[in-house]
Amino acid sequence: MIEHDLKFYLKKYFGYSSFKEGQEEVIKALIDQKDAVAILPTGTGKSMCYQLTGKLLDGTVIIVSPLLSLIQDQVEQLRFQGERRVLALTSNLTYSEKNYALQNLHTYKYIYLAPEMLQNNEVLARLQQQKISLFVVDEAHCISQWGPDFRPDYLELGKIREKLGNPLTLALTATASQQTINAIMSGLELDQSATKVVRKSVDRENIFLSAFKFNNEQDKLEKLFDLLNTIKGPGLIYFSSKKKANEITEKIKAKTSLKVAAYHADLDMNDRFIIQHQFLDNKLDLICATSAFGMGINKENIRYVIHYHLPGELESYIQEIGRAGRDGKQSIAILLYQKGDEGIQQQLSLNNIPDNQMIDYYINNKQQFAETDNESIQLLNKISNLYSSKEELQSFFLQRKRQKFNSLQQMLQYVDTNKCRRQYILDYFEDNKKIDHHELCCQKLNDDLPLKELGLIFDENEQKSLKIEEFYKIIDEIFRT
Amino acid sequence: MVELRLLDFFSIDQPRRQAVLRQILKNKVTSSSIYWGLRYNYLSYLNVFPELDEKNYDRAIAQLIEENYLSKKDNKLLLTIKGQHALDEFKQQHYFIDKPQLFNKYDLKLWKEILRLMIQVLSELSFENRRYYVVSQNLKAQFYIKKWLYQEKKKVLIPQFKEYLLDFLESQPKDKSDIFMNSFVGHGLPGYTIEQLSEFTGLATADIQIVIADLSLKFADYLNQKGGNFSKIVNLVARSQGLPTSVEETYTLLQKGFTVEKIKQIRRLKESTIQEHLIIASILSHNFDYHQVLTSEDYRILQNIYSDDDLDDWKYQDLELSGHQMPFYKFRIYQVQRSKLNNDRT
Repeated sequence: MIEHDLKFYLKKYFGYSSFKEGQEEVIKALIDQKDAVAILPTGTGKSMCYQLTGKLLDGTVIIVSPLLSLIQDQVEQLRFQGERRVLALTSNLTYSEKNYALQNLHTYKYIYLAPEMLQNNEVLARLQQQKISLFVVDEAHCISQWGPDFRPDYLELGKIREKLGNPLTLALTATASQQTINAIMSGLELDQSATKVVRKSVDRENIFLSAFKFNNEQDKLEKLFDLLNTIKGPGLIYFSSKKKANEITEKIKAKTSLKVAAYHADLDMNDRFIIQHQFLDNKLDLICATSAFGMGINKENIRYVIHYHLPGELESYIQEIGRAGRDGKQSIAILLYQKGDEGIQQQLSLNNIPDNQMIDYYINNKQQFAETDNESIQLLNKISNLYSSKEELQSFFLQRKRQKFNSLQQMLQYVDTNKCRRQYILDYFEDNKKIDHHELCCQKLNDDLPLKELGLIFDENEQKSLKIEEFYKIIDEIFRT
Repeated sequence: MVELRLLDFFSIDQPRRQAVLRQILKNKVTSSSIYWGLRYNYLSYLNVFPELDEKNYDRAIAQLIEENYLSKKDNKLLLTIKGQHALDEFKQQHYFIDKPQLFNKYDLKLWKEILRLMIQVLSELSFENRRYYVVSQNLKAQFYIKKWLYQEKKKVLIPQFKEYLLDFLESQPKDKSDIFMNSFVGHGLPGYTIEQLSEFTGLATADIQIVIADLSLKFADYLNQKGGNFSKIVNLVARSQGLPTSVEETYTLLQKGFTVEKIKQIRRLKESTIQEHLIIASILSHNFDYHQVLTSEDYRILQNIYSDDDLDDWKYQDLELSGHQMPFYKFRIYQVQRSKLNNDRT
């Protein structure tokens, strides 16, 4: 298939005239039946790599993804583009819905599922009956045991690939060191010599990087309101907890004239849909989200991403700020750090890592833990497939704790750095790109932001309005007869 | 926050057990819950809140007692004067369910998904637009709508639906119709969440939820009565009316003239189960023939011992104390008959 054919199909199926950086290379490799590992920055259309390929190959595309909100977003995107043969095989389905889906797998072109779903014998058996044109592992860095986002279920994907007949495979990630790339290759049992690796810089040039440090929350809040009353939107604020997201949403409503909504797991599916689409339709100025849910938002013109809480590692931070400026226009990422915020991340990460006492008890009483809701025990169940002795398990989890601690330290260093922030990030990811720093590249800690120069000053004329309409007007508007 | 809404289910005169309301709302049909549901006039609320959390409910009742809106006597609850005043004031500012019996007639959860999807799909179809984000991820709802659209003529459906929706909403209080319609998604219209509607109107989120649930079900009933294209899809969410299946089977055998002993043999169930079925049938069916269960001698004995004035205070032990042997289910069925007769008179 030659180059202009691919552009023709891109236009035909998705309405775009050109590819974003890296997409075409990946798609060409896949069309030529070569496995591929693609490291493409967030916001540069990784999903197109398999969506277009899927249209061009005969068979079903299986996409493994770790986050429900990501899966939901992808499914909706495809359906929006007119592709209805899409299935999200997740825990959100009721028992009867799942049965219906499994009976009718052959009718779907794209099947999204979480990695643990593939360990279900019935699901695997049904998938083995399908013609699989492409096996996609999204967020493939989750395979790396030494990576911050390690998910034990990802370790099984190599065996599962084998059981599915070693289909053509694409591994996707936004951030990966060489060690992680090696882990992906070996984890998925890919032939290094025959696999195409496409790697683009993690740098997002159109996102200005900045950070502020505070002694207390009052100062942090004041800065936040000051920013919100000045910065051009729309925007997204990330929080580490739903409670905080709700609390600050109410404060923003009271202190500013912005139209804002909270977005997190406590919302039901209907509310999530409505808020996402109000945001997409430019009826909301701002969304206050928890990390998992923020990742499910796919809006092109987000102008700012603010982190109210320090993320646990740079990998997450880069992914999350990657929501900004997907239209290529100037945007800004602002991290608001209050001394002690790292305690939240320490707590979150330590919550699930079992200590030596727990490991000891687990080893001696393994049988009773086969079925459990306890996340630490679930993790132990999975890791004990890799390491069976007490010493090995203890060593593994000690390494995990150290690694989490190191990642947090790197995050704190990013906040405090005197260096160019952009270069700091690139160096962290072993990205070879060298930055020619200038004043519109990034900000030194606590310096004023050059919003005017960046063209990011709030425009009062762009104020949104939300109001309740009369029922007969709505009916008249939405039904054209 | 105190759940004042619950006070509407209690009485100043009639002491009521708190568990009964919970069981009725959650559609837990036992002879005891249904009997007391009949006595407390709760039966139209069957299945109104199937997902009610028991702990939350008990906590809410405890709070009402603590605030002295309810008083506890012999393990039953009475509405206090303070409670009555609080309820009266609450009713002036809040919405209550208009037709609770519709909650047992239709599957509200599935209907809401279907209705949301129907409005969106028909709206987008009217603009000949196929590129939109689908509002409902419920596979069943998607399947039903797809199948229904495939079978029906779209050109006729859209203007007809628009006309029915307008006609229905014009028949309802305008403030409710506005809230209802603003909760939906259509072409160029993302809709509003419950929380947002609550902010715009100043109403509590519970009120918004009640309005939407109430009107959704009333609209289902409206479409059902219209017949034709739309009643086909409404029928997909209709719940089976009448008796639970096993109860129905027992009752059918009774109507054919079989005795309890014979029914027990035919159905291979315990005698107590058959008796339980008969009690439920006597309460829930409209034309229960009491004479198939109670003989004239039974009536003579029961009429001698019990008076209609204090139906809730009848004690089964009084039968035994007066030297008569009669199984409990007969006593209970007699109670049901007297209760229904008294209700008819009032």
